[in-house]
Amino acid sequence: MFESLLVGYRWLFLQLAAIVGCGWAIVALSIICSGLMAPLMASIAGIVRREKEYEDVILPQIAAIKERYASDAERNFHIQRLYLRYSYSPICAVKKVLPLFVQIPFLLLTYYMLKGTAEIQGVHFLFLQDLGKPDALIPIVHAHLLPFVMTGINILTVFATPSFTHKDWVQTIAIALLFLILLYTAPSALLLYWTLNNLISFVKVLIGQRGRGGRLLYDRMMRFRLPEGFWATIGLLILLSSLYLLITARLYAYFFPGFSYFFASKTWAYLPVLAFGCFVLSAWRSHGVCRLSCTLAGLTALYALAIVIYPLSCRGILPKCLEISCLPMWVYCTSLILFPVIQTEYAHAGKRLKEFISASFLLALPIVLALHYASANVDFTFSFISKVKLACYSLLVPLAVMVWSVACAGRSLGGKRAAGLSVGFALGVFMMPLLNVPIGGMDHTSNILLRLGLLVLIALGVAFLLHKARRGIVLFTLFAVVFEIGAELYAEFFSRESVSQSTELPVFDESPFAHLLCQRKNNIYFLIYDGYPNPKYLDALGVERGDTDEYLSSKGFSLYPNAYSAGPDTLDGMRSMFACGGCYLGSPRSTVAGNNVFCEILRRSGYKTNYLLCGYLMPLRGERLPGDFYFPSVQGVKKPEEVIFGCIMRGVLSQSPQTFNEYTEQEWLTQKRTILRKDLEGPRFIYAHQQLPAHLSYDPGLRGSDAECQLEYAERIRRANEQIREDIDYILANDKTNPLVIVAGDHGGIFIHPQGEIQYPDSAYILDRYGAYLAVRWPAGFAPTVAMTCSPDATLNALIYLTGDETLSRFQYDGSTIGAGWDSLPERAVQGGYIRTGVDKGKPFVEAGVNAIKQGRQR
Amino acid sequence: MMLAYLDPGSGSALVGTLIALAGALCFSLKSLFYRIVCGKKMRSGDEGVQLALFSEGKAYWGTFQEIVEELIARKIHFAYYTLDLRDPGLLIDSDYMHAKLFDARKATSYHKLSRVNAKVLLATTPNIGTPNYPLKRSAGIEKMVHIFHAFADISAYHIGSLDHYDVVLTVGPQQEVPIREVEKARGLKPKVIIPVGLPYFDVQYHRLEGAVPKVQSERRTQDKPTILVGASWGAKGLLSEYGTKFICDLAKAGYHIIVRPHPQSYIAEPDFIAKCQMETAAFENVIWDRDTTGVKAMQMSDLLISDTSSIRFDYAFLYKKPVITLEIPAEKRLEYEGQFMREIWTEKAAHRLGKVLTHQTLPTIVEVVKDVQKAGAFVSSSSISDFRDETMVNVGTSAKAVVEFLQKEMV
Repeated sequence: MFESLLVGYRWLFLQLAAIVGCGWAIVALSIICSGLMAPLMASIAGIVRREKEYEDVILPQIAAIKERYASDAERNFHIQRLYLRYSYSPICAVKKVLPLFVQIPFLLLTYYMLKGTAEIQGVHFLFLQDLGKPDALIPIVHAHLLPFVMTGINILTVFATPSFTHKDWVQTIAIALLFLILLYTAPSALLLYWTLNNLISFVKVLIGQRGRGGRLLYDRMMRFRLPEGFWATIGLLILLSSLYLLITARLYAYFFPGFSYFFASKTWAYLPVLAFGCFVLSAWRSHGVCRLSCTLAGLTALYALAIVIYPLSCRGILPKCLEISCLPMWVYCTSLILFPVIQTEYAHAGKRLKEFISASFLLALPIVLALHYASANVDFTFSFISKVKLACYSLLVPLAVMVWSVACAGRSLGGKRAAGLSVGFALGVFMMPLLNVPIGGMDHTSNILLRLGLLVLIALGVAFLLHKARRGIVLFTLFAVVFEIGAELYAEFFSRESVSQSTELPVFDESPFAHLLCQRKNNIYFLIYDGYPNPKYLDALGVERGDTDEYLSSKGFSLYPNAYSAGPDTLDGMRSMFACGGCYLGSPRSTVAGNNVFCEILRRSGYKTNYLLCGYLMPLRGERLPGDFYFPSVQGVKKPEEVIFGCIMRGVLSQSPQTFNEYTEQEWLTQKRTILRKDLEGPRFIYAHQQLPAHLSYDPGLRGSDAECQLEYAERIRRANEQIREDIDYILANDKTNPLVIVAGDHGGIFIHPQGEIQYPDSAYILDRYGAYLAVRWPAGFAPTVAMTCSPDATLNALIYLTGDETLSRFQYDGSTIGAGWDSLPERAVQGGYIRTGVDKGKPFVEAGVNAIKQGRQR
Repeated sequence: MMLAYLDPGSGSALVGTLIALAGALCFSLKSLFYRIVCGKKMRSGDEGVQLALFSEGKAYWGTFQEIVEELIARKIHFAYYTLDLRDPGLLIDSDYMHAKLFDARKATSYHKLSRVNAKVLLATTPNIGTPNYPLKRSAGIEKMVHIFHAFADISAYHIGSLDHYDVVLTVGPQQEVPIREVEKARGLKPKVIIPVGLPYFDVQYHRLEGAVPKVQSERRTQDKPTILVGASWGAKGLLSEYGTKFICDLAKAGYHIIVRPHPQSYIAEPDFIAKCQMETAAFENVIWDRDTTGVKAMQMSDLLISDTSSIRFDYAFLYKKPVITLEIPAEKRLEYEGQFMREIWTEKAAHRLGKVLTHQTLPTIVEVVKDVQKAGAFVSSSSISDFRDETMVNVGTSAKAVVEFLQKEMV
């Protein structure tokens, strides 16, 4: 039957359109439908009026009953009797909807009719360019005007309706705003029809006031005061909108099609902040449970923001300072707010509960700091469970001290003092790493202090807004708890997917290498010596470089003294080597652990892949490990939470590889040699990441400017050279398969300054970060097809050799270095072998860096 | 998306509906829970109740108020049916009173009322069961009892008003004669007539007990007296018959005038009332009163001008103040029961209450008022009291008499 009506309705529209055009046909349709629905609307108004009269009579009596009778059973009985007297039931409010069900067919008819009418597509009407599309009339941002006009008329209608109470206003305005969002992208034909309908309703309301409508409207607008709950409603709408956009991934295109993706993303990212602001305002004006609810809602808003920030920060859209300061802020806020909120809002709780809340709050502080250290380490990927464990470890210290103090001092100390003493001690322990001047491999200490400072500022700001510091902290803490947990859960379960959905690069797409197979099956040895630098770099620093070059050269290695690593650290450096044409697969750590294009081709071709990694490369987060052998095994490596806690207890803010595993350097070396000796069937690939010579990141006490450090560093270089020699000797003595051997550093020496301390990237520092060693022993008879400018070219050439496909040379890496935010190193500081930034722009990379070092420009 | 095409008002209705549904569900579940756990059974209301009272609305609450109080005091279960949402009777929460609203605005209310069951139904509404009246006598009612809501006899009732009643509780013995005359004239079955008094009058009587304002002749000489014009509605009203000229004359003479038409006038003849208001709008000393009971107007005024309205009796018997009656010709009362009577008691009573003016003597109304201003009254206070005692029984205790009768009927 609906179909028949639709056909008839469409026929009517088309007839009208044939006479007056589509646009005027819509206007006529709107007038006709409004006229037909007028009796229904009058009926609705009468029903609503009558229901309101009932409520006016019944509700005060219900309130009186509730006041008179304490027992819920008595109240229920008398309220039931009241309802019987008035022949009334709460469900009577449903009567308001009955006429509405008669109205719905008109609405559905119009919607489906306009939806299925091709005649409105491309039709121009008055100021509307295309009736079949949204109007996009607001210039610059290309936003749609009609939805706002429609909403504005709806809100004016509310103001002009005399019988509406404040509660009705809030509800109706909220619905109007919600419809704004839902109808925002509807075709302008539909919006024109509906806007006209609303306009007719507005005029009817004005006329119904018998000439007093205009005056009433004016008076109402002049005297309008925001009702309680208004800001909360607005905040809720904004929050729902931002969540809606997030879930549907509409992003910028929904509201600002005229903006660039990045700009719109940044703008959109702050919608939850607006929502949070609204909830703060609402919480400010309310009290009790209402305040608590608003606070929780505000936290949810910021949780939504965290959801936004995580993927945006991964894509590098947000400024780095905002990224690194926002995330830990949530951690702190989480810990600071929840318990005082509960304590404040439920002040009537018993004394014991209050004390429990206070003690819990204090105990949360060490947890906060521990989690902060965890989040400060950008190298690690902490899972949610890891953080939970770290939080539990953090409690050990204060609990241990508490037990000890109570056991020793007994009752004289008291529970409260014991708690305070234990927490104070724990805080002292946890703050120790911050007192260390050197930084180490973790994120910059100054960032930690920046975060702490930002936290204090934000807390003060919120406290100022809320007038009372206590309540400010209350709000902040509540916000942080829900937020942090939510953000962690999101990062655990969703962020990877959302990143993969929105990134323009494929997550796991080997194409165009998907079907490549190796035609040659030489054994491949990929020997990385962490931080082994360019020899000229060592010369410039005055560090004895040894005779590695001569040795390798004698063994048939091709040396590339002007080559460099594409990344300033292990993960970026190795990823770029294994990327093979830019196909990044999975996370950086898993790439290094064999989850990459290069190794995938080898495995498909029948290779046995073996990985010997330093301990800190192993902690992975559920990534697949497709290799045949790993050392150390995943199970044998210490968990990140254990490492962090160990560092905290030792007062070391560093990331020594020895902290991540139970074995010694000698044991690792022994295992490596065992693998090298092992006689495996079929072709094999061995990737060994030796933790020599290493660099300053691991020993914060070392400084390149220090003479003793230089001696220490020289000793490491010597040991590294020794290992290179031993490894190569063994390989060449035992492997007669014409192996391909790569000897390289994963990045530069990082000896001049530790990571995170460069303020003015100079050629010296650029060489310090990217100047890695590279030497390759190509199989006999092979010469590299692609010029060896930087380390990724080595693996590409290897692939060309193994597959026999020289057309792969089209995937040559452009030689651009990857930036490092913590070091203020820009993207493409080096490209194609030349410096692209600073005073040495345009000069050859190694030469410029060496000269800079010699000139002392590194200080 | 479909829901998006509802305007915010409708959407708001939907939201409210959802809330109502949720609330109703919670309430129902809770009620069921308490019924099971506490065993407190909610009586559906009027099931098995032998006595029912029917009121058209809050305007008639004065008639039933003391009867209801008496029934509750005697712990007699009864039902109270009303057509008015704002009937004060609905506010009473008693185990013995089973009030129920039949909203007059709903189409099914009269139909449901026409099917109530009770042994005795007490009502003050004439016309129940007449062809043009929406409420029919229910087949489940064994005995219908009429009680007067004003000091009048049935001469002012429309024809057939009491035809479906079995018992008439009168104000005094004088009301029996007209009823018998009508029964005889139209061949109706004789009703049971029992004088009980006037509960409506008793309410005001108790309210004024010990504080009845005296005739303040001193005040009259000091200031212009206030005149209350109390008019009936319809063809028998003084405004319809005499217009507003006499009001204007009195206003010009400097008297303060309160015009109080019957509340029904504003419903039945709003345009006519509006016209009358326009005619007196020029006089600041003329105000129009819409109070339902008229008590305040009666207290404030010193003299009443009325027609056949029973307000004259309230005014004279309660306040002992002078009354002027404007005679309404008999031919105006063809649609009323009065046409079947040889003489109308209220017409005779008018002379005992005060002065009676006709069309011929109305122009002298200003002088008449001046005379009573000097004399203090038309009729002596003792005469009024005697007249009251003759015409009204059980002054101050009519409710008890009514309830005793009802108790006997229910046995």
